[in-house]
Amino acid sequence: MHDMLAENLRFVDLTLVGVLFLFFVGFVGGLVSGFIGSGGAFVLTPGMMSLGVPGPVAVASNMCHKFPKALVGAIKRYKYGQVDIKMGLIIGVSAEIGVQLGIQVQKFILEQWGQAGSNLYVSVAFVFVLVTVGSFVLKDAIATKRDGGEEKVTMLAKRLQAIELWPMMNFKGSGIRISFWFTAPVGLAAGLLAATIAVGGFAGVPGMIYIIGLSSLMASATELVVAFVMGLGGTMVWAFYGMVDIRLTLIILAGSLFGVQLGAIGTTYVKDYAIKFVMATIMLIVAVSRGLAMPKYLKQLDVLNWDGGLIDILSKVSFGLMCFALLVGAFIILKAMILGRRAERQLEMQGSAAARA
Amino acid sequence: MTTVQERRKKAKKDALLFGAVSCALYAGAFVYADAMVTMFAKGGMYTMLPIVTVFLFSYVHGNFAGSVWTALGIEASAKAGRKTDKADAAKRTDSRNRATVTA
Repeated sequence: MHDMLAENLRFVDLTLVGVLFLFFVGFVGGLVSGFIGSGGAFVLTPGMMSLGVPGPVAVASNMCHKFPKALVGAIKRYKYGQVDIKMGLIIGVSAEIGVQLGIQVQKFILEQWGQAGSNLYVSVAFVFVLVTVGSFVLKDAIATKRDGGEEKVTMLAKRLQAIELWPMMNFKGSGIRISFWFTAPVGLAAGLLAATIAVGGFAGVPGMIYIIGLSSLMASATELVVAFVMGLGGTMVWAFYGMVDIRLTLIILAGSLFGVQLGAIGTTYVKDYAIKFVMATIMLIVAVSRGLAMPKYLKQLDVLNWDGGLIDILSKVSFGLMCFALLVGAFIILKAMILGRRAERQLEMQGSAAARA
Repeated sequence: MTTVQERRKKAKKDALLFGAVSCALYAGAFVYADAMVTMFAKGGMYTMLPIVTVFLFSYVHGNFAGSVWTALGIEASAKAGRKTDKADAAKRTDSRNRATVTA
């Protein structure tokens, strides 16, 4: 199996532009991950693929950078009192099963349909998940802002918490008591998605908010623990098959460790629903971007017979949109952070002026 | 109690120290990039190599990045810290007078 996969894969030659691109994407991806708990990967995986990196190597190299980045982010946000470690570990362990399932699916597709089939599968999964979850989260964020900005626990979460189904678990970090059987599916879905598109958080964070009943702030911080657990497990499997391109991993890590800590700092200046806004906005833009990249893979599989020039244009627009999504995410986070810091400083100055008077 | 100035001064020292080690690690990794890629791509017995490598880099480079932000004055909202302080203060049940030092 290992030899066959290795024959199908090639490690790309890196240029200076490629290195700078990965560093920058790593930084912004880290910024987003530190803020919403996940999300760097949905830009990084296609970003690497656009440089010619095969899908599975992109997913593996991305996952290998994800778990140390998540660890650094989780430690930072734990200091701010935002992490439920027990919840993160339990969901993380159940997500491991999902990761293993996802890897088997990826391997099967690579063997059956080759590189183009694997890339197409990743793109289809991206578009489907990002559109579905992104629309729902955006709708909820708008409603929360309209209702005054205070988040409420969903009815579904309240009902599930009320069901006494052995084994019941108490989570001191978040003050929630819920059955293991309602946390496990959230982890399973997050793991399955993580192994496919390397962004488990787009199932994990909404799952923790809408099914388990955590606040956005706590769900996004706890997701970093989940990302660490399943990223470590997933990396061990990918590394066993020799799919990790350590150069890509280290370049991305160089940028993302700056980004993840800045994103974590940013969460201390915003209201909970801001996390949903950032998550949904980026998800929807990237969904359009990946949708435009699909004709290229369909043509490689001889399913589509479009003009080569048109497909080139679509690929370039797709890439441009992905960069746009990055910049929008970074802009929203940094703007919220700058405004929050400014407001806090003004309050401090008013306080000290009042004390002097 | 650590003042903001003291914290930033320590962060500057840490940034220099961890920054130097991080530069050395990255330089080493890219000088031997081809050998590392070839070895790590073997998988199997070599599975732990990429994992140990990223842990080492994340410790050194993570400390460097964190110290740089602190040295630049980019830190969490004071509210984040105060919340924890209040929670800790609320847990205190011992009502005896605390020792104080009057200078």
